[in-house]
Amino acid sequence: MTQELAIATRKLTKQFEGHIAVNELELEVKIGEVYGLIGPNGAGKTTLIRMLAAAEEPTAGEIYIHGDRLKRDNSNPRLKQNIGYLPDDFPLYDDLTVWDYLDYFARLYRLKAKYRRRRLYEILELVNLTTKRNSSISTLSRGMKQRLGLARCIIYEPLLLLLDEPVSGLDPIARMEFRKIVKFLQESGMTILISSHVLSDLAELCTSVGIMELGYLVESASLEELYDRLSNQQIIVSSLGDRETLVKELKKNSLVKEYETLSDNSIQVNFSGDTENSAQLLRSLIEAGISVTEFHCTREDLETIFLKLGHKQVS
Amino acid sequence: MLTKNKSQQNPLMDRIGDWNPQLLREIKGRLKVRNIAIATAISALFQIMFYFVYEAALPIAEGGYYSSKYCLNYSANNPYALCTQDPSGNLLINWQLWWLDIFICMSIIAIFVLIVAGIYLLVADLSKEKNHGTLDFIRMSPQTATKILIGKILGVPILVYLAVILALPLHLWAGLSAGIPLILILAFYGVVIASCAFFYSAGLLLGLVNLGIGGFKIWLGSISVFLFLWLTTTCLMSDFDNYGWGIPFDWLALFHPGVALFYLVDATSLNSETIRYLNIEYLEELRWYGQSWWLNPWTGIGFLLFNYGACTYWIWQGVTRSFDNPISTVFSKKQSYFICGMLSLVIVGFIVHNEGIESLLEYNFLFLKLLLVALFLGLIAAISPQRQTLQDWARYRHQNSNRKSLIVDLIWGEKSPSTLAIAINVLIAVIAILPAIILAPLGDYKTAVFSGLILLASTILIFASIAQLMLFMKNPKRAILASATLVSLTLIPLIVFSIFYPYLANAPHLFLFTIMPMIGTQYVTGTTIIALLLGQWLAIAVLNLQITRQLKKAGESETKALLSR
Repeated sequence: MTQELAIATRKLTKQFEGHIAVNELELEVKIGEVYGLIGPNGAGKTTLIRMLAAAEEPTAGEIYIHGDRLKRDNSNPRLKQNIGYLPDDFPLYDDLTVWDYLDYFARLYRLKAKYRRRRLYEILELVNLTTKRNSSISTLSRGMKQRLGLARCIIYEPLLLLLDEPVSGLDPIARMEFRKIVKFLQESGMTILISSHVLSDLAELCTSVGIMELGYLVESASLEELYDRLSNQQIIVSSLGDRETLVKELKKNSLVKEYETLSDNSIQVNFSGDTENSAQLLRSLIEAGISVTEFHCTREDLETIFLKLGHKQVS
Repeated sequence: MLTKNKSQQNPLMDRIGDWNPQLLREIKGRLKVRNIAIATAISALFQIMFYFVYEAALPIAEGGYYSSKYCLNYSANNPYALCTQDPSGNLLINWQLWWLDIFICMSIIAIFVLIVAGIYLLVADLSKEKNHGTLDFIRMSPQTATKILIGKILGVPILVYLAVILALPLHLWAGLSAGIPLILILAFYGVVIASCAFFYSAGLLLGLVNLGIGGFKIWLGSISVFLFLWLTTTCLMSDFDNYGWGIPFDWLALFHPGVALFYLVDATSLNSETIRYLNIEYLEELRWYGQSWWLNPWTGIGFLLFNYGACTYWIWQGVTRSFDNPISTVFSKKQSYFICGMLSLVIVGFIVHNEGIESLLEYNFLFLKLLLVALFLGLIAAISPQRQTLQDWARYRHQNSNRKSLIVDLIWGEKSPSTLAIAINVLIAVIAILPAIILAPLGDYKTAVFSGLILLASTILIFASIAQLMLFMKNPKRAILASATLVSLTLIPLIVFSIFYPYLANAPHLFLFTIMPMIGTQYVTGTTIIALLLGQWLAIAVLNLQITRQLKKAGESETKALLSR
């Protein structure tokens, strides 16, 4: 079974002093997925990612990467070559230039000379650092350093990429650039596990989401399934006329669960019907002579779902 | 269009990088024009300074006063005799001695610079990489620990190497002018390289292990190695009769690469009376299992290289273990048994040759025991697992250790407490030393030396138990506290007894409670020793009961904590 999975953990446990950071965790991530890991600070996300990257030794339990058992010793160098890991502080060497830094890691991962050069240019292009390749790392901005850190862990084309809080401290433009790179990597077939507090980013990038709390994986499902199961459909309706008439007309529809007034003539409705039902609702409003100016269907976002689950997410 | 990078144009760099990426990285980070210029300038400045200092020491014909050790007619009996002159009035100078002095002085300084600066740079570099988290990335790469760390050793002190290499022509010229055969000079270089390999491996180990003392470990490494070199250099350069070869500390002196200089000085045609230092006759006293291995240059240099090689091998085992898994103990328990057995046999070899000199032998055994204490303090530190490992072991042993029996786990296990393993090591050391005590002509002292050894063995076990107990404390500074406690237990009683010795001369049995019980054992009865032994064993039992109790508590508490959640 573990053969088809990019990551599989079996009763993975990590204990620090009296505190259990990760508790008998059973995580399964399919090949090619972008898996978002969310949870409050101290839930054990970083510890889990560090164990998956072989940077931390589990207290108990097993980790399988593409079906092979991951151990911290040097017994399986091929497996190490398949994992890329970017910690949240992405430490770099300030005494090297961008090119020398990437060249060093390309050599550490045994990229052959001809391919290495080509790959370096490809990666520099991808992370938008081609013009900076001869600059000293100490002169780069935080966003550039973060992209260079990402370049380091993808230069050897790992099958699995582990990103711990990759967008923390980045400005919106840097975050957008980062999302573009991750999407590109996903399209190239890389499995990506990404932990983040920026849930809007995760909602845009991920195919599956796992929620961690107190060392447990309390939820793990595809994004679609999560939305289907936990997200309510909402409709924002605005009209030119009287709000009361609009409310009266909406209440007639049995699929309208509750509503909330947004402004004088704008109402947000929790709607339990499907697309056809919402079309019917719109039709009924127009037939009732209400001048509808806005009829906008949305779903509750990831953050709302997360808060609804009773977790205290810090955004 | 993309321009070419400098790095791609240099085929030599490319080849270095293909062989060892870590070395290339260090070269790129360090060999910058400014750094090269500074290293070159310092090396040149030192050489010029050297030349002028020695030139100033030459006698001069003008001014009337021209006696000097560099006069060809100089003799130790008449040191103030005036220099003889040739018919044209030039002083006859003993150039060979002058060049020899330059050669030896340069050698000693180069040894200090290479080892002290090298260790400083390596420990600082590794500590920095460890603190920044970049070491994790290297560790995760498919390269082996050996390859990465060889790259570090060759690359991190590269500017020091550059400065030393730039001084090599003058050094070589000085050696050849002093009449030293080239082959011996090259052999000396070999010994220096072997010593660097040894000290740098030790430096890497220091950089990798977690002592909980932060940046101080950078200074700890370089200052202790400086003190060691300074003390041994003082011993080597002076008359050994005053310091005394023939005690087990001789083995420590063999870690100074300058020992090889004895052969180089001896190979010159100069009279040892004229040279007045590094007289090879001193090495006659240095024996191992009764043989003067160090009199012949080639067996001597061979032994030096073998000593460095064997010690570097074992340190390297610890280095690669600590690199691959930073929370593991430095050595496995199995490795510790080998190390302890080998070291005991090596050290015993240095003490069993002073036939017939009973008191000196007794003195030798005393020093042997001091070395043993140092060895065991090191071993305790190297094989005692940290608190977290012990907690995990107590809690998850039944899941992780493939149903090994407890006793097997305690003897061989990676994560189990170390007390039993230390006890086995003590037994190995006692077995290695016992034949020496039986065979040596100790006369009346035999029983005292033997009972002293047994008491010391028990003391070491008490130390090991205290260490293990302290390493289980919650205090984050537990490693420091444990080391400080053991060092205090070792040194404070000795210092107190030494200071008050005049008043305590009539109470030598007080020494029974120190790490040198042998001073006391010769004055007390067998009953006292047995009573003391029983007392020590009771202490060991109590300490180990406490360790067991704490381990059980650690194993249980997590379950309880979970249930209460």
